[in-house]
Amino acid sequence: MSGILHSTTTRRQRVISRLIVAALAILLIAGICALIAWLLWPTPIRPPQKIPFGLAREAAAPTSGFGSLILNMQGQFYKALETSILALKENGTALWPLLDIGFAYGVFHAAGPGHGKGVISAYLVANERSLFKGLAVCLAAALLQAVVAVSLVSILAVMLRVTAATMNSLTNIIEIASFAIVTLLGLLMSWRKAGKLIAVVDVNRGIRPDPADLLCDHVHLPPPDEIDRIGKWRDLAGVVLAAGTRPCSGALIMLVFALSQGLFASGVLATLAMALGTAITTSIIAMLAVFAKNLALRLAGGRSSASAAIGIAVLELTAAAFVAVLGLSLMTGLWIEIGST
Amino acid sequence: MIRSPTRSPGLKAAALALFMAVIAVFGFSNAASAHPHVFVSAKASVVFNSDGEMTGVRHSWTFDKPYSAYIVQGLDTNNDGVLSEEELAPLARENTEGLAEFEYFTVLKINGKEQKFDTPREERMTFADGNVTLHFLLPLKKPVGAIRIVGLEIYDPTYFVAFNLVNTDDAITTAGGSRNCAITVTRAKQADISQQSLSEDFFETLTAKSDFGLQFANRAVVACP
Repeated sequence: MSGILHSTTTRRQRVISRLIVAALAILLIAGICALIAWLLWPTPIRPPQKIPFGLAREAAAPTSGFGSLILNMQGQFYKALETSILALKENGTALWPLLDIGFAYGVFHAAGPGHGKGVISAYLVANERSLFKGLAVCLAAALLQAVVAVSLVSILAVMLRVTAATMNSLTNIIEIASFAIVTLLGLLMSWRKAGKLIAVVDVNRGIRPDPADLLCDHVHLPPPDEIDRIGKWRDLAGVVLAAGTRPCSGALIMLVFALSQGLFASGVLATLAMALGTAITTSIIAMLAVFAKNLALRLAGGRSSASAAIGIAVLELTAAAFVAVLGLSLMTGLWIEIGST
Repeated sequence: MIRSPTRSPGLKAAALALFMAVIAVFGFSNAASAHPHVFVSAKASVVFNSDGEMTGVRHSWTFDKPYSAYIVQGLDTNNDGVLSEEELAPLARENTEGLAEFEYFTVLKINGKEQKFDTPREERMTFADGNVTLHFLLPLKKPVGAIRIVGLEIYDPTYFVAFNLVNTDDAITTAGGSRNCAITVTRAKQADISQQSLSEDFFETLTAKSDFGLQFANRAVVACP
C-alpha cells in the first residue's frame, strides 16, 4: 500500500519535473530566437500586415536588400508562369515550358523562408538519423501542399464557383489549422524529449529511469522494433501535415488563372511540377539537418559517454522546443493580425 | 561508428551553435515570406477644379491577368459570361475601402508639402481582355490653390503590389481647370534623374520616405508655372 502511494507520488513528481523541463526549454528557445531576431532586425518587426486587394493572407515582406532581390525574382517567375499559361492557350502543345517554369518556381520559391522547412529540419535533428526518411518527408509535404491547393480549387472554384473572398477565408482557416498542428507537434516533441533528458540524467546519476519516461522515446535500450516503427511513421505523418497543409497562395492564383483559360488540367500538372521543385530544395535543407545531427552525434562520441548522451538529449530537446516556439510564434502572429482587424 | 578522439565541450557547443544558427535562419525568417503576387499597371490624373485648385488624384489601376482571374471568380452572378460593372461593384468598394490602411499607395506633395487624403470616391471596376481595372478618385482633404509643383509617387513600400506606370504618354495627365502644366514621369527602376536640371522643390518632392520600396516607386512631377 505504502509502496503504491510512494510510486504515485514519484510519478506525479516526474510528470511535473518533465513539464518544467519542457517549459524551460521552450522559454529558453523563445528567448534565444527573440534575441537573434533582435540582432538581425534591431527595429521591431511590424506585425504581419493585412494584405491589400483581399488576397489570402501572407506575412509581411522583407525590406532588406536581399529580400528585395528574392521578391524581384519571385515576381519574374510569376510573370513567366502567366506568360507560359497564355502561350499554352495559343499553342496547345506548349505544355513543357509551363511545367519547366513551374518546376523552377518551386525550387526557387522553397529557397525562400517558410515554416515548413523549419519544422522538417528541427524534427529531423530531434528524432531522425535516416536520410531516406528525411527525403520522404520533404517529398510528401510538398505533394500534400500541391494536393491541398488542387483540391481547394477543384471543389471551390470548379464545383461550387465561390468568390475569391470565400476561397480566402477557407485558406485562412486551413492556415490556422496548420499552425495549430505545428504547435501541437512542437509541444508533444518537447514533452517527449524532456522525459528523455530527465531519464538520461537519472541514468547518469545511477538512478533506474522510470519506464514511463522512456515510453515514447528510446534512451539506450532499443525498444521493440515493431512499435518503434509504427510510432515513427505516425510521427512522420504529423510532420508532413505540419509542414505541408497550408497551400501556397501563388499556386491557388495560378490554378484559378489556368481554370479561367480553360486549362485546368495543365494547371494541375504545373502545380505538381512546382511541388517536385519545392521537394528538391527542402530535401537539401533536410540533408543538412540530418548531417548536422550525425555530426553532433559523432562529436559527442557515440552514446557510450554519459555526458555525451546528455548533450545529445539537450540538443534534441532544443530542436523540439524550437518547433513549439515556431508554432506559437505563427499563432501569435495570426492572433495579433486578427486582433488588429 | 567513427569515434571522435576529442570530446571537448567546446566542440559540442560549436555544433550546437551551428545547429541553432541554421534553425534560426530557416525558421525564424519565415516572418519575411512574401510574394509580389499582384502587378498593377497604373495611370493617374491630377484633378483641378474650375478655380485652378487641385482637388485630388484620379487613379486607374489595371491588375495582372492571373490575379484578375482570381478575384473575379464566382462574380459573374447572372452567368452570362460577361462581368458587368454592377457585378464588380461590391469588389470595387471592398478594395478601395481597404486602401486607407496602405495610405492608398500614394504619396502626394504640393509645393513640397505632403498632403492627406479623404475617403476615395467614384470607385468602379471594369473587366476587359482578362484584366480587371480599378478606377477611383482620391480626394484631397480640401482643395489646394497656388499650385506650383506637384510631386506624385505611386508605390507599395513592401513591394507586395508591384506598381508600374503604363508605358504610354497618358500615364500621368491633368484634368479639369485651365492650368497648363509640364509633366515629367520617372518609372519604377529607371530612376535616372541626374541629367535634368533640378530645382530645390524637385528634390523636396523626391525625398518622401527612405524605404527600400522607393526603388520601385513611380514618380511624376507636375510643374505648373
